[in-house]
Amino acid sequence: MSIIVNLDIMLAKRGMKSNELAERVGITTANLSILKTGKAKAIRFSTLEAICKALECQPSDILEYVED
Amino acid sequence: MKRIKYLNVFVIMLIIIYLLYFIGNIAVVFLTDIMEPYGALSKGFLFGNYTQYIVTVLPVFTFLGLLFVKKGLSTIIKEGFFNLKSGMQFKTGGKLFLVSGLLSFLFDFSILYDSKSFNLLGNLGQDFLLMVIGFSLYIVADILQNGSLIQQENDLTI
Repeated sequence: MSIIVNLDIMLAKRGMKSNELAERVGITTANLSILKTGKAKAIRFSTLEAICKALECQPSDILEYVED
Repeated sequence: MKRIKYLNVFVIMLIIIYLLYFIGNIAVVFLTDIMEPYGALSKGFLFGNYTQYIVTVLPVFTFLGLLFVKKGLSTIIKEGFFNLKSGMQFKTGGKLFLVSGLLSFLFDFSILYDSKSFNLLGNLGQDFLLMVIGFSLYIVADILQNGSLIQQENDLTI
């Protein structure tokens, strides 16, 4: 898929663990893992908003478009 | 899901009825001489003595189709409505119903044409009904397969 999820990078920058982010966002660690590994088919605006709020970043910091 | 279970029971009952029909027909045609007095009568039919064999063999396709429908229903009961497996099984069942309906239609039409007995028109209606059920199963299979993909996407939407 040509949309890359850079959650790992943002987590490392903020020094936050996956479990903590999942708890703050209100999703399961399994779902966060699906998102991190790029297996997710879509992301809800509400989830994106919660992630951005928790990581104090913009959607563009998490999502990146790379041409195939 | 309750209705699916009821339908499953009906299909099982129909499968048992078909089995009894096959056993009875095979016993009558091959194992006994009950049909012997009617031998001269069947010679007047379009397919002659083979008519009784054709009548025994034609419902085999419907029977096989029913087995696939039963499999599909069991899969739905186990795995939920939208799954690719039951879609495939319904599609095969639909194909078999279509083949059965078409062959029965050709057989009944040739008998009707040969005998000019128009009270056989009802049989043609039943054959068409079987083909309609076959097509419907095909459509149901498509809905199940599309539903499965949509559900998969929904599950992977975070």
